[in-house]
Amino acid sequence: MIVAERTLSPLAEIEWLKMKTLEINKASWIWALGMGATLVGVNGGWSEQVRLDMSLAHPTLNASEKMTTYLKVGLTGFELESDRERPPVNVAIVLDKSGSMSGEKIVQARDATIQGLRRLGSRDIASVVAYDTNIDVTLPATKLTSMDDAISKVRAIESGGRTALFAGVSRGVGELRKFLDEDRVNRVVLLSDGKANVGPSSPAELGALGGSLTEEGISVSTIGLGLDYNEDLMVQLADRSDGNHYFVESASQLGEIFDREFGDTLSVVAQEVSVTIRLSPGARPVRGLGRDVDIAGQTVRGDISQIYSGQEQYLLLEIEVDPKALGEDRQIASAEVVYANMATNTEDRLSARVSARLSELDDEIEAAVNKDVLVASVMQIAVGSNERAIELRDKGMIEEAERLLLQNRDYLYDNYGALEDESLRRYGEANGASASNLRGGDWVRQRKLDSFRNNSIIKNQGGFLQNSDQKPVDKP
Amino acid sequence: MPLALLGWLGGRLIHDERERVESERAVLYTDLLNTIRSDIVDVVQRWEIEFQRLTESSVGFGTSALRDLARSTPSVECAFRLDETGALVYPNLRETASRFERSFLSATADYWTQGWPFLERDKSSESFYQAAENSGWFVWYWSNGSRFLYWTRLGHGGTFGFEVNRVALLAEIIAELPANTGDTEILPGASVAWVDEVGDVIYRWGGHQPAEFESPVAEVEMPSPMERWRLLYFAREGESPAFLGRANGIRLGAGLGVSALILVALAVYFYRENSRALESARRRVSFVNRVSHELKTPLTNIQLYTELAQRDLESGSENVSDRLGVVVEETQRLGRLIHNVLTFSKADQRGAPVARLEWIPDQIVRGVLETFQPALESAGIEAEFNGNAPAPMRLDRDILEQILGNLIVNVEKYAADGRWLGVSTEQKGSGLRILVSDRGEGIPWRQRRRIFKPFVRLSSRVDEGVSGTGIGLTISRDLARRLGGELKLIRGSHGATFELRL
Repeated sequence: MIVAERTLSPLAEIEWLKMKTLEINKASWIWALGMGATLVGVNGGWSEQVRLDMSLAHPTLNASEKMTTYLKVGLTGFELESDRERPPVNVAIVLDKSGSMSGEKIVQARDATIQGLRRLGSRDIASVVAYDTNIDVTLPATKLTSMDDAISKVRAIESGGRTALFAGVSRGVGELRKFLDEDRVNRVVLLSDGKANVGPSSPAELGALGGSLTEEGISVSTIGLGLDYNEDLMVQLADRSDGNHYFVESASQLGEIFDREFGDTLSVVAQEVSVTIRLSPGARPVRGLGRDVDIAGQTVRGDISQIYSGQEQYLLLEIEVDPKALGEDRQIASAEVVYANMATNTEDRLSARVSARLSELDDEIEAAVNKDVLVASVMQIAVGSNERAIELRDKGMIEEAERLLLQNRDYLYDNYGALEDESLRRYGEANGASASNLRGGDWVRQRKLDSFRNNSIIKNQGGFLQNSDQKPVDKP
Repeated sequence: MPLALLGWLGGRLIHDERERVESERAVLYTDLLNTIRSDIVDVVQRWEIEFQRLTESSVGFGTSALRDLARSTPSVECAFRLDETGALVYPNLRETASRFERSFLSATADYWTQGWPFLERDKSSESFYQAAENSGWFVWYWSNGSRFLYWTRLGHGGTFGFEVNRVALLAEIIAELPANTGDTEILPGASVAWVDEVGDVIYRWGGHQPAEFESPVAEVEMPSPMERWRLLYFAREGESPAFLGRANGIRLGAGLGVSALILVALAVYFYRENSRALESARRRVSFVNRVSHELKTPLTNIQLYTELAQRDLESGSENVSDRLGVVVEETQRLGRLIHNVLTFSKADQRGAPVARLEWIPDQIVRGVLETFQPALESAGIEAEFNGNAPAPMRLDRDILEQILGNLIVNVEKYAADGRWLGVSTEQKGSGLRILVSDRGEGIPWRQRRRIFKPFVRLSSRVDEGVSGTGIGLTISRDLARRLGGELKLIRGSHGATFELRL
């Protein structure tokens, strides 16, 4: 938390001291944990935990008027000491081998799959399901004791037929269930280049499937290849099951994408994260930004399926604070987090609280602003606008969509001026580019790119495909 | 002359055989679909059991616990509770609703005003009371798809239920249905499709791509709650029935070859033993046809179930022992049939040895009933035994078992809808009286002597799929007479009762 160093009235000074103590307590807890972690790091790091941070966009609030601000609950995955430590993985790769995949695409898909399989170890379990009009269980769920056997089976996949995507995913999940275990990272990786046309094929249905899978502890990551797949379906399935979604334009990029996906899967440190935020009287939750949360009264619930090593995932809330209704401790909210620690195979709990200072002076409020939280809020608000622009464009209202996108660009650029964060500028640029690609064939590609990017930003995965370093490592 | 007759017999055989194969195909395909259907029923029942369990454990839950339940249970979208009058208790409209609750409420809005069809309005008291069942599924349409709901009536009044995640159920069923593995085509020449009300495919497997307007050779309805959907079987023209395992025409051909050999052997044997008029020769041809069919059916089932067991072993399913149980039963059936036929052919030989040893009749009867228990259970027949013959007496045990076996098989075949089999024994001096009765259609009193003639089957019931040679009763009475006893039909109120006196 950023604290302004100014001379204060005695009352304010007491407030300041109280809060500072809280802050020190919290800091010292983190520090002690850090020390503890370092000390026992030699022993294999059994005391690793996910780090929980609660912060307000405006740590100093207006003392006399109601004010809107943003509350960020961030969770950062600890580093895995070595490959030995990582939890075993149970992955089902579901490949589209319909007619449209013939030629270069199916070759690349096979190679990328083999590349992915090679990254797995003897403790891991893999299965491969290929689908066209029918299902083919190319590799039933098995421990990879014979890599050559698995590879030769994948090489035999041939393309031709229609696209039974739902059945393919169902079967992949069935293979996964054979070895489903909460001590493993359970993941389905789905590749498709076309529209599902056999079986349930609507985004809502695939989304509902994703929703139920996440409750079983399974995430589905979806890879859309080319320009003919249904991005709504692929995004919904990934989004509701908290997997990743990728837009791949050329089959030659498949290897890199599979690599990224497997990299993520192999670096999961926490699963089934459940966050409960309780807002104090005087702090009213307005809406969630980005990730879906469930607001019921003063309690907000959110789930995150997995946290990766060294990466931060967060929940973001827009709240309205009435300074007169706050308690003496000026507490805004408390959070409780429960998650499955994949390194220690335990269920861990974390809790934190955040309070605010109050001030009459605008300058103080201004100076105390937490840029990270504001940047995150601006990005998520911009994503919301971009999604609305897509809806407008879907309805054929091209001019309105264009206007909204340009407004969005300006909004992002303005905030970039104030907050100086690169991601704001890049997203602003992207919105501008979208605005000029709303017509004709350009839109088909643009829509996929935007869907992918929006989903990535919501899921704190950066959002920019070209720059593979773009993984948010928020500074504490 | 004999050669010509043989040739003519063979020709008739092939012709009749082909006709029979055609009509049997449809029956076999329907059987195959029903096997798949019962696998689907298993999945649905698992879900029903889970819902019952959830209902029991959430009886005392409040709003936030019910919300947590929906969030953490993959198969459930939202829970709901009604009080005895059918009014909504949860989700509570006065509290702020969570996302799932809102979606549930809007999708079910009509029913809160119109009333739920699974609750009925009692005209006299203006309150809702529940239909006779204690729990069940309910399907309705909202937006662009069907939605499923499972409700349970609570003991103290009121209803508890869930909106079910429909696609999760579909996905779980699909995961357990057959699919190709690697390069092995599981159903070459045929395919099975699971279709919805409109005819769109939900899932399919098999190598045969049906043409645009091709009609299926068999179809069955899916189990509740998916009654509007169907399983369809498509097969190429002239395709011999393929099995869910590896279709191997050679093996089927071998089976047919074996039965053909037996046929030929029997034909020769009967011709030599009985040089009668053409009338009896014709009768024997039809008998030979029936026997060949009789032998083929258990052989077919043995092959089918062995292959299913093979598949189950590969996929680690637990049905293997059930499958093999069927194989055992069919093997026994085959054995009995052959035994009957051979007995019949030996009947003319005088002085066939009859073994008379000391046995306790009740024990023998009990033993026979035990052997038939699985078959009776699966036909839904309850067996009741009233044993009053505990004293040992001189009997030929094999013969007694054969007679009882034939009588019980007849009940299974012709009187299964009475769902009851009663066997009672009585001893008077050195005599034994056994009654075998059922509650089926019964046998007309006028036919009481005719039914014991060889090759006679009462045609009042045209049973497709009920196989029979018409010699069971003939043999049984001959055997009884050989023991110095008698077998006859006696008058009864409903169903048929056979009396065996020894």
